[in-house]
Amino acid sequence: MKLLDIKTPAFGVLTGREFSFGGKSAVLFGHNEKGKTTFIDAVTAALYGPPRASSVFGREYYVRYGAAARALAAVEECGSRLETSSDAPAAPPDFPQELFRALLVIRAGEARIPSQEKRFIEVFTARVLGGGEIDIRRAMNELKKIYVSYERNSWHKRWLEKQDALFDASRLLQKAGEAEELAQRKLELADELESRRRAAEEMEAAAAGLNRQMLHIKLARLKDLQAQMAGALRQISELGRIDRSLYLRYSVAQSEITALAQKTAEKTALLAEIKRALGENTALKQDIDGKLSLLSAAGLRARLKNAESELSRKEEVWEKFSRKKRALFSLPALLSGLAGGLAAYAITRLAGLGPLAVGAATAGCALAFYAALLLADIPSPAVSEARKSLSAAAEEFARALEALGAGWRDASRAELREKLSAEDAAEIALAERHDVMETLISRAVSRAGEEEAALRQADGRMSALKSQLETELAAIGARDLGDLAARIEKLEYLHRSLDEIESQITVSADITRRSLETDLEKRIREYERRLEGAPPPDRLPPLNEVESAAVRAGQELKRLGAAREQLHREYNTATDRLSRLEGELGMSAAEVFARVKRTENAIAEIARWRRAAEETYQVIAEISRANDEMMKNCVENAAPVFTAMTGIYDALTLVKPTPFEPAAITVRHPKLGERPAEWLSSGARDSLWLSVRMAMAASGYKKPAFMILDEPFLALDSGRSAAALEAAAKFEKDGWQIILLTKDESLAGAAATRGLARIDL
Amino acid sequence: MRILHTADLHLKNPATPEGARRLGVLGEICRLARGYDALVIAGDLFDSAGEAQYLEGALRALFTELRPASVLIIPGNHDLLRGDNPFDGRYDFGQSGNVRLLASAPFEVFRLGPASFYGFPFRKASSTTELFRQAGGPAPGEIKIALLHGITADRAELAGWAFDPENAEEGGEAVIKDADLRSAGFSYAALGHIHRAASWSAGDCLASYPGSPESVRATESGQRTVNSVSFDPETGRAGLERVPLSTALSARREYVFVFPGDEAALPGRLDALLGANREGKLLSVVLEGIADLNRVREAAAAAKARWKGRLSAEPEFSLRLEDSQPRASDMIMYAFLRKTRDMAAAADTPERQDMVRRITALGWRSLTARSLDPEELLDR
Repeated sequence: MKLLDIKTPAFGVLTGREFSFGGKSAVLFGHNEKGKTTFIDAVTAALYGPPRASSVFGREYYVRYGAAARALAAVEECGSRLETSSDAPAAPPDFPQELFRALLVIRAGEARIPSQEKRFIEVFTARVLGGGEIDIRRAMNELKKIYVSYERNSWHKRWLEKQDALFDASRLLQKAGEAEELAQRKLELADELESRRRAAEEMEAAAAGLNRQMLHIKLARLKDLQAQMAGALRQISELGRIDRSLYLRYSVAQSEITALAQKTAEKTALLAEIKRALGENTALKQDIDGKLSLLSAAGLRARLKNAESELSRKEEVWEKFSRKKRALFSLPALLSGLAGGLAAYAITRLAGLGPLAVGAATAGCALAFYAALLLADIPSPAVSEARKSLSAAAEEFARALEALGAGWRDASRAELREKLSAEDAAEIALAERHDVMETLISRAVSRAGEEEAALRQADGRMSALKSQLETELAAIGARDLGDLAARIEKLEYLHRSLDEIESQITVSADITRRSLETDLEKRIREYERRLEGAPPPDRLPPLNEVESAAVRAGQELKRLGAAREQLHREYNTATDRLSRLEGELGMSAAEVFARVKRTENAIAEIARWRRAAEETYQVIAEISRANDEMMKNCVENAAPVFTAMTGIYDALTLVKPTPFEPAAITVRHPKLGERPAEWLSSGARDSLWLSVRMAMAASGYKKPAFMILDEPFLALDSGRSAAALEAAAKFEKDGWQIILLTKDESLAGAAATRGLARIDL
Repeated sequence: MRILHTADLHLKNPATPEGARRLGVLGEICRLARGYDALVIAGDLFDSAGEAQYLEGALRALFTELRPASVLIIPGNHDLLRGDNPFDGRYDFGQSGNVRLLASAPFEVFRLGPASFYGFPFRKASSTTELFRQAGGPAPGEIKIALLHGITADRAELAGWAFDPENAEEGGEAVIKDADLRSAGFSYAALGHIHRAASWSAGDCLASYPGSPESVRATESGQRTVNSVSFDPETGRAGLERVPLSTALSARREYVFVFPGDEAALPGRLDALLGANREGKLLSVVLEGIADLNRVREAAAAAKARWKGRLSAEPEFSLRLEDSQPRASDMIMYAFLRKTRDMAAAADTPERQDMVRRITALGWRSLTARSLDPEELLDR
């Protein structure tokens, strides 16, 4: 941008002036208070408008120039003319006011920076423009704190807080999920409980129905039993004149009659038997008698037998007598001999004639023996007797034999004996049998007599009993024994039935026999009450079916009860856990979800700021680098100007760009070599800063524009001024428009000589 | 079976410009609904419960004209705010005819042909897990359609959008889970509450937010639509087509970056911006950057006054810039401003614009030694 012309219709001391530059360099010459500062302010106002009244600058401006101050300018921008004025400032956007003031207006003395000042750019800017300083380093550090995780850093803390919050919220979300599942489970359990409850209700209703059925059945049964009992009792009472004792008596009598009848029958049979046996035995006896009669007379036989035996005996005696003689040395004789001997011995000894004993004994013995023999051999009357008897016996025998008859005569003694014995035996046997028979028969007869007697007795008793019973039966009204029997049977039957009924009642009604009827009645009333008088249904199933159904129902109810308990426990556990979780959560699942999302959003927001901080850091770091680069270029470009201004130093080096301070620059003295800028005299230092300042203007603003130098060479002597002007001309060669403001006549002249247009203020 | 699905009308008293506009949009929706079997409104019909009284007659007229098509409505969180439930029967929107207010908790069922509509009225802090408890599973031959008003838990971007501080809702939240939609056997979930159109499949269930028919907030950009849903007679599966609304205003957010020196030109820029809003968007202008705050504020107020009544909707201005005054600039600041100006011009996506905004703020604050604490930046 080049300055073409300035008009100041109302601007302080320059009011009504017009300046035409035509884009070329010029020198404005004017003494103090002629308007050099005013010129700068007018240019600024024309380009950018008046300053804000509220600023320090603005207040000064309005004091000096008034609110009606007006300035106009024309500039050349990119080959075209641009009009601008303080009312309608139209400076191009890439030629901002800050830049203009910072770079392109170089005022006297401003370049003097105390040697200990470190941050040239910042301080310089602050001095010139009166604003704050920028501390890039600090800015970059602050930015770094945002995205680099330092401890105890508020961003990092916030980041960690949000991460923790997200973690907690996510955990809560998990819990919320768990809580939802539990709530879900609770609902399921509630449903199950409800269905079980309904099932239990139904089952209970069914069980109640079954119970009612059972009651109906039982009631019907009890009533039936009651009726039966009543019927039985009624019938019993109808038969009632028959009392038990009669019944017993009849029983006894009946049994007696029966026994008697039996006895009679037995006896009759027995009697028949006896009579039959008697008949048989009598026949047998007759037979025996017949047989006996066939035998020879027993007397004759006995006679014969006696005779024979007598005879035999006698024969034997006779034999004996004839044998006796042979018994000389028979034993008795010997024994008598011995005895005599012994006696003799004994007597002798006793008599004290011992030595004679043996002889006495011998003598005695012989004597005795001989005596014995003698005695034995006495032919005695016995012998003759024996003989007589013998012959008598033989006669008798013959007579006997004769008496018996022919059959006997011819038999031998042995045959006779045989026959005798045979007939004896037969007779004995027959006689025995005859006796036996007789005994039997007599026994039988007496027995028959007994039996008959007994039979008669029994018969008589039986008749008596029967007639007694008949009498009694007639008294009762029973037709006959049969009738009574029937009645008794019926009564027995009724009593049995009654007993059966009563025991059924006790079982069915669960009562004791003690007060059966009243208890039964009570029980029936109780059942009726429980059934509330409802009539029984038309068809009642059998009791065992109902009972088994009731048992099943009971089992089912138990099962349901257990299931419900289990479900209840589970439900309560779930409820406890859920309320614990909800207490821990402190909010609903939806709210937890919302919290998670918000925290995620917050974290994302922090992340975005962090990314922005990182990029900002890069941007500012880049700017810082560019700045350093620019400073280096500045210093390089400043070198010739500096050399020209000082006339001595021939090189200027930037040792380090930041901080830009006197210590950062070295100068080269032809003789003394490299020296730090601090080493320079104050005048030289002023020149240094001025040259750097001008180089900065040229470097800072990329394309050549116009530069206003306000008494820049004030501190320099005339020789230096000339050289400086020469150096400034270098910039002009680069295309810069230099507007020089000075009160130095010689400088003005020199500038004019150089080709700068001269304008006098 | 074809239904038209919309939600989040946020009707207001028609005496207000917004109220009149939105009622007009509802009129367009009702015209579109002719020929459909049902018009389904998934909550937030009213901006708040108190607005219902002004709309009773108009709604009754609009809805009854749709006969024989049914109109099914569930209450949303806004319908229950600041007043008594307008769906409890105190107003006649046509319930005696073809309008069904499905407002009994936990849900009411309306059968229409092969379809069963399960209307779940909004309940704060509820979730589909418990709401669907009694909704049973799929029944053969039955087309189950759910009407729900809440936030989907499974679409992170939608949920994040919903919980953005700008889009914050009142009245609590209800959570909708894909898993529950799947297991309950719904063919279509007619959703409401999130004002951005979105649809996705949860198993065999198609779930969709139709988006607000007219933008309620500046973040609701894009063509406004309603959902036209048809159901395959054999499989019962839902097919979705978005039908654009011509009378509805969508919102647009414009970022205007202002840098020192731009303040003078700002009124012209704002005029150009507002003037270009011929298609009638709901304009939200955000002024970002670094500039003289007072001058920018004046320019915005002046623009608003100049354009009052000339646009379909009043534009909103919000200032989110750093104040350049009182502040002196220098080379570094100049360089920074130039850089950020270039970046702002090159920002072509909303995300990049947002990043440039932050970089500008951070750089300015750091260079001017203002606070960079999170309290300053995060809680603005």
